[in-house]
Amino acid sequence: MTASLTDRYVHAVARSLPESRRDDVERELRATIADDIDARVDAGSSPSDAERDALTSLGDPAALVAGYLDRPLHLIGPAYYLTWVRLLRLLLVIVLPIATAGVVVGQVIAGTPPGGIVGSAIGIAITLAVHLAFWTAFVFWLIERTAQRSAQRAAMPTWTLDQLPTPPVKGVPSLGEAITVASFVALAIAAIVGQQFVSNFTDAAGAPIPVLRPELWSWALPLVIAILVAEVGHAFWLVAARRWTLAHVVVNIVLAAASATLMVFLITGPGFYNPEWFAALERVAPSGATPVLDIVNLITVLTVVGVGLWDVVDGAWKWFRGRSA
Amino acid sequence: MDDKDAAHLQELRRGTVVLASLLVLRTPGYGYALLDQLERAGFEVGGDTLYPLLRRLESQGLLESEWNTDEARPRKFYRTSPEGVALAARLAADWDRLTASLHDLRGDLA
Repeated sequence: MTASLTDRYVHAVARSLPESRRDDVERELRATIADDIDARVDAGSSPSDAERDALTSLGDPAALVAGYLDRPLHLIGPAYYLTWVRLLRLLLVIVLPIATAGVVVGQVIAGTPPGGIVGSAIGIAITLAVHLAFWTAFVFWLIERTAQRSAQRAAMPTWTLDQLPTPPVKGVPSLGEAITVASFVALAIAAIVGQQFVSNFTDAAGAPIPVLRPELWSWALPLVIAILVAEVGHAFWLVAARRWTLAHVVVNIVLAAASATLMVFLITGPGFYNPEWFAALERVAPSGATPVLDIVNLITVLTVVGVGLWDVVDGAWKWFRGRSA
Repeated sequence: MDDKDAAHLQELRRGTVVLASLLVLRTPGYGYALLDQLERAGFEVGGDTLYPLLRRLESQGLLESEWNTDEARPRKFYRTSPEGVALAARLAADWDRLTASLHDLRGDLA
C-alpha cells in the first residue's frame, strides 16, 4: 500500500520535530487535516480533491515545522543584522587592504610579473572577502539559533551615541586618508627595494639589472625612502592635530621641496634611472628618435614637481581656509 | 487591493489572532474548529500560522490542553488559562484604547 498524501505530509513535519513533541503534534495534525477534509467533502469536493486542498492550504511542511519549533526563517534576524553588518564592514575595510597589500609586496619581492601580481591580488581580495562574509554570517547564524535568546541579546553590543560617525571636517585628512598614504608609501618602498633584486633584464653574468642606478643606494635612495616615511608621519600628524597648522604647512613645503630638488638634481646630474636597464630595453624594443630614458626622465621631473606644487598649494589653502573659518 | 495594501493590512492584523484565540478558547475548542470560527469572524489566518501559535501559547502557559478521546477522532482541546484570560483582558483594553485614539485621529476621514 502506498502512503497517502496525508501520511507523507505528516511524516515530513514529524521527522523534523524533537522526539518529545513528535507524537503529540502528529496526532493533532492528523485530526486537524481529517477535520478539514471532512469539511471540504461536506462542501461538495471529492475526497481526493479535498485532501489535496487541505494539505495545500497548510503550506510547506518546512514552514510549519519552523512554526512549531519557533525557529526563525532567516539567516540573521533584525536583532543581530546591524551588528553583523558593522562587524563585516570593519573587517573588510581593515583586513582586506592589508592582506592584499601584503600579497602584492610578497609577489613584487618574489619577482612575479606585473600581470600576475594584479591577477593574484584581485583573486586574493575576492577570496578573502567571500571568506570574511561567510564566516561572520555563519557565526551570527549560530548565535541566532542557539543558546538563550534573552541572555545573548543582553550580551550583544547595544547601539550607543558614541557610535555616531564624526562628520568629516573640511580640509582635515581622515584616518582613512592617512592609511591610504601609508599603503602607497609601503608599496613604493617595496618597489624601490624590490627592483634591486628582481628585474626582467639580466646582465651577461645572469644578475638582474635594476631599473634605478645601483650607485644611488649609497645615499639618494635611502634619502628617497626617508622622505616617503616622513610623508606618512606628516599624514598621521595631521590626523592627530585634526587641522592644518602653520607647522604642518612648513613641513609639507620642506618635504615637497626636498623630493622635487632631489629628483631634479639626480635626473639632471648623475641620473636616477639605470642606463644599463634602458640599454637592455633598447635591445628588445628599439625606440624612435628620442631615447626612452629621456622621455621617462622628463615625465618623472614633471610628475614630481607637479605633485609637489599641488601638495604645497593644497596644504597651504587648507590651512588658510581653516584659519579664517 | 494591491500588494502594498495587503502588506499593511497584514501588519495591522498581526497580533489580533492571539487576542481572538484567547477570547474564543475561554470555551474549550480544538484547532480546526477554532480556525473555522476565526475565519467566519473575519480573521484571515491559515492553519500553518494558527496551529503552531496554539502550541506557543500553550508553552507560555496562556492555554491549557487536554486530549479528548470520547469521539472516534481524538482531538486536542485547548482552553484559555486564568493567566491567558488576564492577558486577553489587558490586550482587549489596549485595543479599546487604540480604537478611541484612532477615532480621534481620524476626525472627518470616512
